[in-house]
Amino acid sequence: MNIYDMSTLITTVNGTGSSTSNELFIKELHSRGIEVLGKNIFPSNIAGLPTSFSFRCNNHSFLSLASSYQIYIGLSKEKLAEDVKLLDTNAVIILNADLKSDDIFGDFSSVCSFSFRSIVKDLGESLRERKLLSNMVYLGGLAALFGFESNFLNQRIEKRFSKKDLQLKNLKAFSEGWNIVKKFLELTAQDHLLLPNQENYKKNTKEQPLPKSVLIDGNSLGALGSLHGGASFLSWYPITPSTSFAESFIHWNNQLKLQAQTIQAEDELAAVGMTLGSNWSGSPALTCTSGPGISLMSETVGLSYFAEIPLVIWDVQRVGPSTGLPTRTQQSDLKFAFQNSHGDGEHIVFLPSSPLECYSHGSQAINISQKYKTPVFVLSDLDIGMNLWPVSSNELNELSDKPHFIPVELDFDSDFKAYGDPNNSGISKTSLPGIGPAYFTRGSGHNENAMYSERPDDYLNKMRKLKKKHLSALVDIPQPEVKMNLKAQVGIISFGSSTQILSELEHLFKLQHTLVSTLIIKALPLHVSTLDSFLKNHPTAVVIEQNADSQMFQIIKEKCHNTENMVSLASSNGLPISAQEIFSQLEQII
Amino acid sequence: MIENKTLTNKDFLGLKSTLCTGCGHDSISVHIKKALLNSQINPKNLVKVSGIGCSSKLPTYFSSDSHGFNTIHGRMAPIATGIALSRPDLKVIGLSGDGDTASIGLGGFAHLIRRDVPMVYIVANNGVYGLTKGQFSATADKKSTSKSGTENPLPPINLCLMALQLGCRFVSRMFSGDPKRLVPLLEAALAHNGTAFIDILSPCVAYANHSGSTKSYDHIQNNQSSFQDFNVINETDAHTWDSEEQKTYDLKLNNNRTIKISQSSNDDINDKNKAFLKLLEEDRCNIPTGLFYHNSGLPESKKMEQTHKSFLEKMKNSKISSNQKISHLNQLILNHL
Ligand SMILES: Cc1ncc(C[n+]2csc(CCOP(=O)(O)OP(=O)(O)O)c2C)c(N)n1
Ligand code: SF4
Ligand SMILES: [Mg+2]
Repeated sequence: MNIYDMSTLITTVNGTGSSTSNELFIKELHSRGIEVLGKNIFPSNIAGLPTSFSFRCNNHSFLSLASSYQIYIGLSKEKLAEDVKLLDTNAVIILNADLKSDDIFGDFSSVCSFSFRSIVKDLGESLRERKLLSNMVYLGGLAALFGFESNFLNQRIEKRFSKKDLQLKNLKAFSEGWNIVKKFLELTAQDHLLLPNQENYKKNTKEQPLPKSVLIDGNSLGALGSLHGGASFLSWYPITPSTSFAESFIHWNNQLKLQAQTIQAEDELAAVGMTLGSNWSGSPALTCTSGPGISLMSETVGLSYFAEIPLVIWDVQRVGPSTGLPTRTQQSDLKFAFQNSHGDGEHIVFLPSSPLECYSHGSQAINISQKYKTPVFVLSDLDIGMNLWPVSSNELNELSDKPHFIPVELDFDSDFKAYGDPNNSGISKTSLPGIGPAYFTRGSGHNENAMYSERPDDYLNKMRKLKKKHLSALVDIPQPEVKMNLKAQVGIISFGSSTQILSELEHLFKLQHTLVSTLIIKALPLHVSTLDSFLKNHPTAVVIEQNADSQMFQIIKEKCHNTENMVSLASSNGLPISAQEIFSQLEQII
Repeated sequence: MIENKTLTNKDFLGLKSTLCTGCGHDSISVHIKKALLNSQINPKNLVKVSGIGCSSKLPTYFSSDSHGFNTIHGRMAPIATGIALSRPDLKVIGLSGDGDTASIGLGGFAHLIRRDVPMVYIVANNGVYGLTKGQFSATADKKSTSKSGTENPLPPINLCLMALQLGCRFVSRMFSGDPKRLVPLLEAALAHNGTAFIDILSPCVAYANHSGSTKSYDHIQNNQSSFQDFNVINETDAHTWDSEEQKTYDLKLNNNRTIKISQSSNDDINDKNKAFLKLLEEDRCNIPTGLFYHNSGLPESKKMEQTHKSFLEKMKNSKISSNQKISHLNQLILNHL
């Protein structure tokens, strides 16, 4: 197979249906065995602003954002001047000539500029329809650039548009675009761009083997994992980028007839309240939100922690503070989640680093919060939550073999104590209304029999028990993933979506004959001993994360030892980090 | 726990009250105990939920054999919603204060009513924040005074009017010092199939029982207009005759009992417009108490029952579910994406 690594940037105007069309295209690429990852870089409005879609085809399975592009599609006048800076000097450009901006691309030798309007003006009846058809024109052009046939997208277009005339119009727009670019390549005596021989793809065979991977977003898999983990209740309030988590939850729940309840609450105060109420009464529940929602939920998190009631909060992180950049990605809720709510206390925080882990963490989070009767945060982010990623079929099927819902044991002996500690783990027995002995739950001070208490010793015992329980969870939460290289000059520590650049980073270092080790943190509390020995074994350790305050770095510094040689590489401008850029920054550090 | 045995007083006892002597709230828990006893509600199937405030301490003072949850300020409504919707097998009593409901929890209150969550929602209304020592609450009347003599400049929120507007099918107000009518009203609320809202005027002896307060014992006693008589009978179909002036409504209670509510034939307990009028006409010298509006149409939340069943099965058949495997996740995703 050819080695290929090619990135495409498409900038259009949002609200014109381009992201749906772009998805059709990369899904088709993916189904033909091409490894592809698409990232939507969209504005926070409904229509009229420039929006970009970036996709990278490469057969190293490198999944980070590219730092430069080899193909560019320009349909938004406003963004052209900015985008041009991201292009390789020999990039191929498809440009809408109606924008009258060809001069911006004067330095490029391969610019295929043509009027989109003249193609769609007779095809589309309304302005909206003409805009939608423009998407098909550039996708046709792209297909020609990649050396595919003019019927490359036919099946998907036919499936997408049920009305015959719409189908025909879209097919026509696609083939017009294809023809123009095909001719352009012939005229300029260029070959089409190198993409692999599509060896995995057998057209027209009914018995295609299962694809090697599924193209899916983390929100969909997180929702499915939570349901398989036993979630019977979801209460939520719409907020980008977590809305599609709730929508997926509803989708899977209906499709798989799982009979969970879903309630769109009036605000996050209520969403988390209903979730807590459901958990208190024994029905495993979660809520999904993003940073602003966590701010509102904080008081209830403290109640869950102190009164020992299960609670799962799925946070799809976006850029803060305040409303911030609602449609951009960041890892900046880490410390806020870890130490959420007033008073002392630290919480279990899951850090899925891929959509696959959104599935497994989703199921584990439910079970662990039930077992430990405590809040569990799952910190995903917009990048893994909303973008389409290839998820390995084999890895998915391996997960199938694990049990997913582990009911909490309900055995009530005569000496039931609501806040007892029978196994010296900090975990008390569970009694549910209507099912076990009654007790009174409160967020105010209480003793082990759940009686109101302001006694200093009762308070201290309670706080010790909570701390003990928090650390007991270390055996159950996802373990750090360590790739130790004894001769490595540098150890890289990371978590969540930032880890998606690691394989590419290793590759780039290898080209320079530098060895690196990696450690991926999958959850908090930290596995201190694992981190300690990793830190000890490397002359330099770097913590890579997408926030400005070095939040994970600070947590490690506080909890671990041997941290003198640990440096922070923390930054975020809202875009997913690129391996290339981090590599250049690392070169300066080491 | 006693299953088919007749429940007695003892089954509904709670802990000793820690409220001020003479606090209106204390009589509420006494009346709730009586209503539970009359209705023969198994404490095991009852849950008590509250927010924060003196009023929200009430759940500790009755039915210790029931699970109780004293939550956080203003969040009784959503937390009770989660409980009631996940566990339709349980009877839920929510207890809140006028601060807890009409200020910090107003949003949750409104949406609970909108959802017609099956539960009893009680506001112990004293026009002040008792627990934080006497600030005006949002139900304090305009120009009523604080203990130190400050006038309240703002008009009150009328929770009954709000509940009615939001579609509540059981809207009522009662004085905590009126056990003859409050106990049967509570019983009717316990038998209702959606949200039963009761605004209980419950004087705060520490901060709102002076002459400038319109929520004092004296003021309420002198200015309430109880426009209905309540009679409970121990059968289901005893007859009454309507006269030209009087009309009687039968409401079925638990435990084969019926409450007979009689009122002027100008009023109509099933007529929302008349209820609106009555509430709009009220003022500090005319405080109507009774069941303003009642409609026993089926609640939408009934459809939730299924979920509960599947959840309990999961819990009970733990062996099955812990071995429950999801085979071919990959295929499942592809089939349903
Ligand atoms: C978030 C929050 N803010 C403020 C308080 C302080 N606080 C406790 S009770 C209360 C008011 C209670 O008033 P009400 O609900 O009318 O109950 P009452 O004591 O009058 O019965 C306030 C403001 C709190 N507990 N939590
Ligand atoms: S302060 Fe008022 S409301 Fe609170 S217990 Fe005393 S009398 Fe009752
Ligand atoms: Mg009050």
